[in-house]
Amino acid sequence: MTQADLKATLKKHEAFWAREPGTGPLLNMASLEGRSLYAPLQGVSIPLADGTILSTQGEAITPDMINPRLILDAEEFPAREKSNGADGPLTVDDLLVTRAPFGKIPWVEAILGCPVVPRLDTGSIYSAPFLGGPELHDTIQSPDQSPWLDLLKEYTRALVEDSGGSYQVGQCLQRGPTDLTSAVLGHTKMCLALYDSPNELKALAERCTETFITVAKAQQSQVPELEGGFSNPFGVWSPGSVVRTQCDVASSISAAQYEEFFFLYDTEICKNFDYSVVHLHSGYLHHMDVFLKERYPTAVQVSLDTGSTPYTVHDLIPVFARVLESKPLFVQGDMKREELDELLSELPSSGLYVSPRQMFDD
Amino acid sequence: MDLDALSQMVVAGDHIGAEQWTVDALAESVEPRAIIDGALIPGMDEVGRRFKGGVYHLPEVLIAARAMKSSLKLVRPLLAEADGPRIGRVVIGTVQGDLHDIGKNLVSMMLEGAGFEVLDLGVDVSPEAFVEAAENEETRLVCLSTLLTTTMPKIAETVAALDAAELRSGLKVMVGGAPVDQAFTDQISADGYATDAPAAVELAKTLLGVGGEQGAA
Ligand code: B1M
Repeated sequence: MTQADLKATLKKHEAFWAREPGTGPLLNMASLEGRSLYAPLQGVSIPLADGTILSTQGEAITPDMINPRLILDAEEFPAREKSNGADGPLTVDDLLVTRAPFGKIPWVEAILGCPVVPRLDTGSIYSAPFLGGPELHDTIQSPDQSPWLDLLKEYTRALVEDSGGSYQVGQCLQRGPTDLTSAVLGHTKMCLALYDSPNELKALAERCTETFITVAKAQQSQVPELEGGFSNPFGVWSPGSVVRTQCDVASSISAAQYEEFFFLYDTEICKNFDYSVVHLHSGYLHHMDVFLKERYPTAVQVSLDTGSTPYTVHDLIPVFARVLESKPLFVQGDMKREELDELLSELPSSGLYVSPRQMFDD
Repeated sequence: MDLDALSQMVVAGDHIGAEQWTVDALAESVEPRAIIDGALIPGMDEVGRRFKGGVYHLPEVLIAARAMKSSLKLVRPLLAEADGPRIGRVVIGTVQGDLHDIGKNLVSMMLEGAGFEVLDLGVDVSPEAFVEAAENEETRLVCLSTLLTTTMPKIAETVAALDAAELRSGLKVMVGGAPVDQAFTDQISADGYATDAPAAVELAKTLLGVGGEQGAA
């Protein structure tokens, strides 16, 4: 891509964040063709540092077992063949091809001290709860003491080297304070703590938040800036630092509980970066208003849930329109062709990003 | 003693009050069956209604269930003596490979609230572990939950393992979780499928032939 093309693309992205009238939408049709911008390792063959393939089931793995280079090489990442960077950053549609550290590892949970347990039958690696109660928040290790953080930095550097300036390197999948407190305590204990030990729970959420921020900054410090900014896992560049947080577990608590216990910590994360995105699920948007009240997060992302949600894209249009009155909106997920058309025709285009993962015709 | 007071304690999630109320009530010879049918089950029914109506979320259901259990643990041993044979227990778990437990916990608590004896095997439960729990002759219902499309085959495998162990004639299998639907239920020959926790309680009662008004304990 020429320098002029790059400038034009980055200008579109800047306009997206500013919801500049007459611009947008940003469309990502790449995942439809299997060219995911953010391709995780498909399948379950995870090469280990000692040359073997991960084959233990249910037993915790440790950071010394992982060699980022080996996983990078095994990962299906179509853009890699072109990765000498000579032609400048790679783009697909309106977006920058962006790759993040191995998405299957629950990085922040591991850094907080959760055992990291592979499940080969389903191809996932999960974190197990380890903290006896929220009052033990002080016993959580500082992130700088965790070898998982060293590995994450090494992984990020390996990506930057592999890219050679072609694809962008983005933040790994980081779950926010709600999910992290649930991860370290277990979900039931977290819910009971809302009533039994609210102050300790808040202290624990604060601890998780500090770790989250340290981890996000540690990654960003390894990544060279692109024209004074960075790309996020959605392939959108921002003229400054950027972060993505999430609160999936807020699906099971009330909006008031989320606001009282966790929102200030998600906000704290967002305040530490110039641009911020909160990830939400379409089945659980009962706390959406909380995100629209204040400046942070600076953008909202909604994943469309299929099967589990009573809401169709059509039902969600008024909610999406409300978001777009104050913030940029990313919509991602499976949708019918007419639903894509409806999103594009019914919503303002400025500040809108749409990424259909699979598209159905009926 | 006022059974309604205990019911309110359950709804409010006051486990300390519920335990004390039960100690006092038993000392005054209140019938164990009356405590369950007149206070605990109606209390949890109300919790279920509030959950369905979006007034309660999971934490409120959890503290209500804890209050209910703090009373039930004192009442249940006496019930076994007084009431003759129990209707048997329910085994529940999230299938192997899946760690989502929020919905499963809710179903488990609501079943307990409706008076069923529940053995919760947790998450990531192998077909073998379900079979082992089902081999206990008191088990009448096995409940399989999953939220991941990738672990739906584990539901089918677990049902097949229960078949292979020749346990199906003595027990029923209920399935549920976001990706599960009636077509899948029919395909794997499970006995029933429920969309949410209150529906799961109704289905469990139907499958086990337990009367609607009287609880299952
Ligand atoms: C036996 O009879 C019955 C009868 C009824 C039964 C029943 C059994 N079981 C449930 N029911 C029913 O009654 C319940 C209450 O009335 C209902 O239960 P539900 O569980 O549906 O409802 C709960 C009360 C509230 N709902 C929930 O708790 C689920 C909410 C969503 C947002 C969700 C959450 C919270 C989480 N997640 Co996950 N998560 C999603 C969910 C999105 C969604 N829309 O469902 C879903 C399920 N997750 C998904 C994924 C992919 C994943 N998650 C993962 C992790 C997590 C968190 C840890 C962050 C957290 C779980 C915390 C926990 N302790 O459970 C990972 C899974 C790891 C693993 N191996 O399990 C991971 C793989 C993500 C990753 N890359 O790591 C998706 C599954 C896609 C699919 N169809 O396969 C998903 C739909 C989100 C999405 N669109 O991407 C009914 O389904």
